[in-house]
Amino acid sequence: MSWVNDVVQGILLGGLYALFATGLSLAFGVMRFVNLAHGDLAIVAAFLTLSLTQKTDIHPLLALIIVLPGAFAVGYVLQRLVFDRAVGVDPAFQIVATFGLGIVIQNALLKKYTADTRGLDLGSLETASIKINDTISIGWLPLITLLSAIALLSVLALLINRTGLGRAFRATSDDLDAARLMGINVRRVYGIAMALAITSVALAGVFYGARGSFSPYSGPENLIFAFEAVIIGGLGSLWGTLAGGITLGIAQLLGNHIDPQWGQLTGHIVFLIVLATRPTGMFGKGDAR
Amino acid sequence: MMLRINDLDVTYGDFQALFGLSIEVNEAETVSIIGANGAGKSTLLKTIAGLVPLRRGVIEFGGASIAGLPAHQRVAQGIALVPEGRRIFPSLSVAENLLIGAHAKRPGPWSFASVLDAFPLLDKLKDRATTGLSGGERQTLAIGRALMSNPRLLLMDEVSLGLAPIVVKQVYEAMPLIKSQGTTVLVVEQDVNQALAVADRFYCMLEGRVSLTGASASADRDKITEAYFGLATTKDGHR
Repeated sequence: MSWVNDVVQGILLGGLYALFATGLSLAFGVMRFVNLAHGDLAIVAAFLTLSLTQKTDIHPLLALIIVLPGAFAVGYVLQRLVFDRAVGVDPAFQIVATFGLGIVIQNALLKKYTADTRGLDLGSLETASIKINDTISIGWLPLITLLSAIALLSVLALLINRTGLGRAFRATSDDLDAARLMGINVRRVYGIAMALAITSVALAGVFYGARGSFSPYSGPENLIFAFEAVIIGGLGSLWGTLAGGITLGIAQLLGNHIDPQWGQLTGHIVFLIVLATRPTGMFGKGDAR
Repeated sequence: MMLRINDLDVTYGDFQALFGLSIEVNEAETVSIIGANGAGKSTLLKTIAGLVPLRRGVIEFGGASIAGLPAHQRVAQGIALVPEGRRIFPSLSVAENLLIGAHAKRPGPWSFASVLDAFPLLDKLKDRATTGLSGGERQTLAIGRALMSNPRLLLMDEVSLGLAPIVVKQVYEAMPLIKSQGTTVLVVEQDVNQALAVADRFYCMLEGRVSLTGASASADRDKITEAYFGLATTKDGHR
């Protein structure tokens, strides 16, 4: 039965990976932009939440009321002032600009918070769980994380498929010049897409910080998992990120079951198998571009 | 005057596409631009729409310069382009392709309902995906989509390209209705007969310059042929 428990925990862990992956998928889907500082921005959100809780004594999840709008603003400004210059040109500019930003963030965090590992204190919520039977119990925190991922993806799916803004997202993604001919301010569309991407990864960062420990250098590791979830699920497919995240989570925990050293490696192997056999992922449209 | 272009130069890198080009279009007039492949017709429309920057010259719309305005702000001012190749959005349904045309929210006679009224074909197709639409259906959708922005100036690029003659006729059937709303139309055509039939006046372009202009009704076919292919100019050089 402990195998079943691993699968259950893997699904829950997949919720966290999906939160990390959603913004990456959105930014790529709308503007073919890959932000290598994505994981580092999540860690910034975790540290800012830490500071907020230390200064004001509020619960970390309550601090989201401040952190998420802040992340939205940061995403918009970052896109308009920095990333915009690297959209639609040689992808090397994106890589250099965002990789560089990641290093700047890591060093700024190091200076402000030192290299110590920290954790967000959620109090009793960290250990509270629902006991299903003797071998399986579902922790409230991982469950809330997974439900948040589902809620976030549902809201984004509604936004993209049912609203005028979502129509502008899709049109801009399809054909940039034709979108401009429709009167769409594509720079603004890009700004909003990145704002949503950073908001979602900030949410991921706070859940990540509450789940375990983090340091200024935790960003890149999460970026890898986010990438793997996006590729396994299918590039540009929103719900694919959840499927990809869950697949990755299950693979890691089953690998972990065989040998604790095998956990992450199994995840990477599953990712490589998907990349080799079905590069468009589970929900990809057959056009990986 | 609706549109005044004076001494316009446009370059793509080292390649110069337009040379000191000047044209004028009056309010509620329909003007056609004819010319062979590579004459710079599409470049001219794209420059008016704001997709291509100009290097030198004047573009005035409604008496004010729009040379520095980004494309989306020109739409808000009332310029719409039906682009060459239709450029229908594949991720959007037929209805959504029309709705996105109204993104600038310009008030006017055209709305989702009135466009569907004017183009019964689109009414039938509205719930469909755009994949599998015929060339004529795509062109009609592109025109309907442009009308959704309630343009004062409608730019139409290569409307008949790749369409069967009967389909071209169907697509152009909407022109009287569009004109009756007071819309000014500037249409690019490779088909000279079609261009003269639809427009009050014409400009013929050759290698980035205006080689002939006049009223469609009194157009001299031989002169147009010369201006179109540059037969006269090759004898004694340009100009």
